[in-house]
Amino acid sequence: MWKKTTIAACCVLPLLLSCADPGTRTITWAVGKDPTGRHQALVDAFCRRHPGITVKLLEMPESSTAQHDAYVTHLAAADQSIDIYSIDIIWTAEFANAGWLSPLGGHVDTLQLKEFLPGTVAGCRYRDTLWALPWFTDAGLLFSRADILSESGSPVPKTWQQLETAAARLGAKHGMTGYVWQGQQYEGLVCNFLEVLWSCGGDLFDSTGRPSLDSPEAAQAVAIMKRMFDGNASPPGVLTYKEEEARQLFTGGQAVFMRNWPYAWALAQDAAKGSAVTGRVMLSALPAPAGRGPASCLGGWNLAVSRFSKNQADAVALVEHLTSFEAQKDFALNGGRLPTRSAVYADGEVRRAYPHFEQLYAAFRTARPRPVRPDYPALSDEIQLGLHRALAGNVTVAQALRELQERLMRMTSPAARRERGT
Amino acid sequence: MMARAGRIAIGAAATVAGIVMLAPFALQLSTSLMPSGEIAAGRLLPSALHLGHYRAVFSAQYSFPRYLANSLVIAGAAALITVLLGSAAAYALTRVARRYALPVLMIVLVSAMVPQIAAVSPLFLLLRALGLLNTYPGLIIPYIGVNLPLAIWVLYGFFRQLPPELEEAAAIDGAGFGDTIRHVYLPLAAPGVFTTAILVFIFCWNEFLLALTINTADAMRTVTVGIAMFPGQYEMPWGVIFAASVVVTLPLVVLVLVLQRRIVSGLIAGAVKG
Amino acid sequence: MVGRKTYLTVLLLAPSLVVIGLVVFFPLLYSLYVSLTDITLRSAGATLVGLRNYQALLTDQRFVAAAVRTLGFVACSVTAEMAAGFGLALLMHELGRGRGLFRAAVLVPWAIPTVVSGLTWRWMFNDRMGAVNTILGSVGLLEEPLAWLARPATAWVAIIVAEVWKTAPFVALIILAGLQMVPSELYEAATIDGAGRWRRFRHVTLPLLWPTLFLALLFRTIDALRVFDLVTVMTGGGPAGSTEVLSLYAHKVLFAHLDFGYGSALTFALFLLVMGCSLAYARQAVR
Repeated sequence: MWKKTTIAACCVLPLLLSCADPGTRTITWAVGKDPTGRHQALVDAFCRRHPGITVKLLEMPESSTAQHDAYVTHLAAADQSIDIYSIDIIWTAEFANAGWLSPLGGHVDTLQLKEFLPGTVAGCRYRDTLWALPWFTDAGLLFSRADILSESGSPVPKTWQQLETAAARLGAKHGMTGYVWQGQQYEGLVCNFLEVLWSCGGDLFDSTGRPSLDSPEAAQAVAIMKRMFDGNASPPGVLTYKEEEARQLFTGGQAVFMRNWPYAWALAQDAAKGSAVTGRVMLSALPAPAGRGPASCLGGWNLAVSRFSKNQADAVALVEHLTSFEAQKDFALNGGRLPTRSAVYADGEVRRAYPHFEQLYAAFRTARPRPVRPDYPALSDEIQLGLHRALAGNVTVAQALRELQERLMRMTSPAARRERGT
Repeated sequence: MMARAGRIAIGAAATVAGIVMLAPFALQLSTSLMPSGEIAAGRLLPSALHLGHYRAVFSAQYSFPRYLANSLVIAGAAALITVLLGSAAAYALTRVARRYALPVLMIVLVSAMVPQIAAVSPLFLLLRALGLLNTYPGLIIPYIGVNLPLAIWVLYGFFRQLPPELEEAAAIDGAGFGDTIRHVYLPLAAPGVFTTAILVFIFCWNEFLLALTINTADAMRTVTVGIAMFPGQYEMPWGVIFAASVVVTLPLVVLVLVLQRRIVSGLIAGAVKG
Repeated sequence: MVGRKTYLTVLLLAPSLVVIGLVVFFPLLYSLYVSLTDITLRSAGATLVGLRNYQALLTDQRFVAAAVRTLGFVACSVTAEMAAGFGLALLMHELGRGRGLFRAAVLVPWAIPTVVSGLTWRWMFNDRMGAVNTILGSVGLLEEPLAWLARPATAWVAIIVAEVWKTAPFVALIILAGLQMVPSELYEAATIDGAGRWRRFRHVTLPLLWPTLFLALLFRTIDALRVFDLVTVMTGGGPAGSTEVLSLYAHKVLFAHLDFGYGSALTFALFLLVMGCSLAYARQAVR
């Protein structure tokens, strides 16, 4: 008898606990670690406004691949323990197509989307549906040594040709490297390439959705990148650099120019973090061929709600809170993240704290997302390989691009797409 | 004369080899003690000892002591159980059921060959079904399974080297099964058993992919994933990462050396007494 | 009596086999099943597609190239690891004073988390800031800084150096344990017979050590064939795909392309390759 009661109690007790207080609901938010500790503060602000909801913060390594591997494992197992995922913008279509995300279209007021930077919203849309909200953003910029430029009376390079010449000349003159960027075979190389390609007027796909790396613009873009280290503007080692290798050379005072994300700005101003160039760095848009406008590749992270979440409405509410004006302003001021809402850049307090946001905003307004397609990671993988073959010189640029184009054509053919369910 | 020259040659070779093996670690140690400015300047030695990176490792933003404790529990339990189960299996295969040795060893070996990346998703499903996500057993059990093949093979090899006459002699002396194991086998097999335990322990201590996916909660996180919490999306804070690496590695090495001296000599002493 | 022996055998073996079955064979069979389907987890259900994924492997140049590369890597690095590990084990065994310190030095590379040592080596092989170029330059072996990871041949050198440094201690520890278990009576007998160091090694130590050497070789081969972390961190498969090993390619297909069917076929092919390579001399180790 006693035994039976215990068993019954054991079975019922959890049920009682979970519905003891119908007002208390828990949602879990998986996100890359924030070293400034703002995540908890943002969540606390939300909970103050929604007393019935408890938010559990699940902080992961900030590395994109580590998060991707962990999230894919959870989502592929239809895991319900995580309600909100923070996802790299290039995963949005991939996750949406896999059926892992809830569409936000019905919940989010379309009017308020106009208040976000256009590129960031474009990165959240796939098949005319909104799958996420843009949380913070990133875009490629040119960092220059202001002191070296003014000393030699050179202007900031506006064209790739000017950049190449100035980098080779000033680098040799000061016994340092000219121009550093991200040339390792990885996702960052595609960003660097797209910025050159877009500035030349080209694109990965033409208007009909056919890969267009057989275009003259693609050949021109690869030629511009290759000339950088053939002509001593960049060191040969640039083919092994990611963001940090370039950044360390630049903030260590060993490079005149650098292409990087805005995170490098804060580090360049911080002597305690080892910068030898504080107060001597200027930001500008990346160069373009003569007569053309610059282009910048969009990075950044979105917030999305898991299809498997049992608490959709609360999860959407938290996503809306985290992407709201107040939250983004807080995150910009105290966490140093770059907002996705235009209004934050115009805010007086933000302007005073970060005068360089003005240059950033100019680049962000026109920054473009990488193709929003579920097969983007697979295509990007091929592009990284093809570009590196062209740059490292295993084969000629023409041959590398021809072979890359063929592979992309095969991967995006109707038959291949059917097979992959895209 | 010859012997002395030989000793000197061995000493010299050991010195060179030791320096080569330690060099990257020495670089980590030295870098972890420099302020960031000196790291960026590419110095090899710090101008003065700077403990800022160690303070950052143990700052309240990260539960690093907790990660250390978790790793110690998980790797320790996994190594202990692996060696226990492995010793039992190896004993069975060398003494009790020798004719099954080849097939069992082959099956066990095949299991050592499964690529880890293939196992992650199915393991996640399995451990979730067992309700073991975000628990110690959730990592201990997979670690035991992954390391048992090595343990069984190594221990099988070592046990086989031990002459069976010893055991027979002990049996004649009237010693029970347990006594035989404790006083005859363990002392003789001690170097092998201990080596196996170290190898398994360090493997578990360093595992990343499973630890990342199975134990996502902060309170259950292990040190390798803990170290991965320090780099930013792009930024690589070398000083902090290396400080964390030193904190993780140095106690481990000291622990192994102390244990080695204690346990192995203890066991051998036990044999003499027994 | 027979009953007791069977009972004891089951008691001793069963726990190990149960855990291995659960943790290793279940995932293996699961991924074998997935490799026979077209699951990409984009579509809701899975259709059995038979051996189609395996047929695709044969015409996939990237797979064939990665397999050849992996085998080459294993041949080079395992040979070097065995030699280095054997040398270290002998030194640990013979060394008189400073033995503890030397053992610590040998243990350290194995104890550092692989990802951290990968990062450290990547940094050391950096062309402008790396310690390798600084040291080689200062002793006059290099005139120009060398971008190690930008050329296939030198990138492989860098990876193999890092791999040997990292895993030679594993080999050394196993061999050392083998050395320590050679009964000292045998040495004493040989010494009385007037055998020198070399003859004692050649005629007493080596024959007894063969199984241990095979064991180390076996497990190093199995592990090296599945090399992943070190290459991912140091080169990510570059330059121009020249260091893309099998597990790296499989990981990309599984996790980045989310093509679980083909990715599982790749991992299963890797598994078969490991089996083919190691079962051949596994028998030698048991013999």
